[in-house]
Amino acid sequence: MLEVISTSGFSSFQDMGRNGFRSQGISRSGAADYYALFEGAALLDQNPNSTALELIGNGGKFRVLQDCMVALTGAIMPASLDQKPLAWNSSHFLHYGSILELGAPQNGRYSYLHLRGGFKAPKIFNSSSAQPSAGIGKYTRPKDILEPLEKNLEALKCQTIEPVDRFELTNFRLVESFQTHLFTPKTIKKFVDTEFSIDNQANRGGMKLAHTGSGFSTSNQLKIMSDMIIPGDIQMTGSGQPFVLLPDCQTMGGYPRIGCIIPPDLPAIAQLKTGRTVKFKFISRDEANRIASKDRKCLEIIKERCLEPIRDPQKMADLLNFNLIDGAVWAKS
Amino acid sequence: MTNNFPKMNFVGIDGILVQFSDEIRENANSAALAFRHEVEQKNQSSVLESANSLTAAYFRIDTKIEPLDSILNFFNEMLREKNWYTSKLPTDRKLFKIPCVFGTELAPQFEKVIKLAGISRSQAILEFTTTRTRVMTIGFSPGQPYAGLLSKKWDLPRLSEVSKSVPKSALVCAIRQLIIFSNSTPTGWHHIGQTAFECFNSNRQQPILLRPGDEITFVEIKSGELSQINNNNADGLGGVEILEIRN
Repeated sequence: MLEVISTSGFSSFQDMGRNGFRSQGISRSGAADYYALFEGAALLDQNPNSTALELIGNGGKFRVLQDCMVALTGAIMPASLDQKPLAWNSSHFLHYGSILELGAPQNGRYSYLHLRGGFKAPKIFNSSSAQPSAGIGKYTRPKDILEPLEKNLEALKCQTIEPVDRFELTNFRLVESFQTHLFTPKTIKKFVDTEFSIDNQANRGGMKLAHTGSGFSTSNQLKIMSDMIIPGDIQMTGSGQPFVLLPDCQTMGGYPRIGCIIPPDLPAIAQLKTGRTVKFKFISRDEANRIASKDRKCLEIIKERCLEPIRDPQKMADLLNFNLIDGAVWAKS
Repeated sequence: MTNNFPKMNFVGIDGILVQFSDEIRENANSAALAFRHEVEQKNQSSVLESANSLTAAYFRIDTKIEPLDSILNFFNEMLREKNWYTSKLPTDRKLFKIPCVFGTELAPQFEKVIKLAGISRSQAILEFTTTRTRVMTIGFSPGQPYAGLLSKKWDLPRLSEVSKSVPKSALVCAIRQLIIFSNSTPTGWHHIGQTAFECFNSNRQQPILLRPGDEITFVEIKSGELSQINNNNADGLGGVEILEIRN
């Protein structure tokens, strides 16, 4: 159990999101980086849909109110427990009374704090993912008490995990969608030839792609009928300005979409920090499905990425208690 | 129906859109609502979720359960079954009479919009308070209706640059449609009225009240009356009167 001492304004509970309520205008939501949910779940031996705390911005500070086990995944934050450094992409025991501190993310935008047993959070439309801008759930605030949903679970070993490779991607794959044909072949060619950079206008709903030169409009752009939108769509606003739509995007809208980023690439683009450059290429629907199914298989066996923690002898206060010689002897024999 | 409708298209890698028109029309909306309803009745395990847009039915599918070709075949056969454009609207529909302030500083784009539509203030208000617009779909944000169709003079394009932000429960219009916003949002739609009706309110037993096929009309009120409604509006009903529609 943890108490929030401080956290950046936009941190909230997220799970895999809510499906099945699109017909009522309810967005999918869920973690911007679902790989991080799977990694946290693998470290803590629990369901990937367990509720985690998604941290955006400047991390946070937490007081441990009860012994517990946590895991840290997603964009790497400098982490410490009572001012001693903690490894990222790892699980840790936290003892009553200690202070967990997380700093600004270094290689991405979204970081995750997982609790063994999952965080206890109200389920609204079948999910505990908060979307405060839509009136669903709330942001995490100082003095909030974060409790586990399941208690008295068996003890686990601390582990570390080799994260799914996603922080250095610069070429993103798109499939055509039902509005791609509204753009001329010339506009589509210009789009795939353009190098974009991630603008600072970015949140869980979408991120703006900055570029030089003219926009990417269709004819009659302002009178296109509103229709379905899904996360991953690249939408052109009135002036032909591209936005990548993310999990909190609306369910419907009238700005045309040139294509849709395939789901396995979506966490990667969501994680990119302002100023990073990206390019896009169209792939066939068959290829996209092959990549998506490979991705699902990789997530099914994500536990194979877990390793025993590698400890630095310099930082081990109890070094003399360990038998460090046996291994060497065994290796010679 | 001409122009090769109905037709099927893709939404991302796991969505199918069955489109009944590429322009907004009431018979294509009825077709989309009916088609989605009947697909739902068939309980296909490969159809994970469905929804309607203005003139299309959307299905999220799982091609691990059933190959894509066979799913497309199923939709094609259903499309051939009948003329969907003559479908009836859902039964047990309701009429929502929603109090609204038109224009004033609460809805600053009203004057410009009636000028674009070429009518007077009183003509515009007469139209909004006597026309019953159909909720053609719910979308964008929780419980938010797209209602139409208004007469042709309201076929106004959206703004090319989105406004800073329009408040929750605002009445906006463009392209012969009206929307009441669920939440405060930046928009390219024209802000012509202000209501206190909350499309989504988790304090209510039924947080979302509007459904496709329902009808909306407005009752003109003054700013002072809106303040009074807002003073006692925990349920977000905003003074609405809800009546059964007898088919």
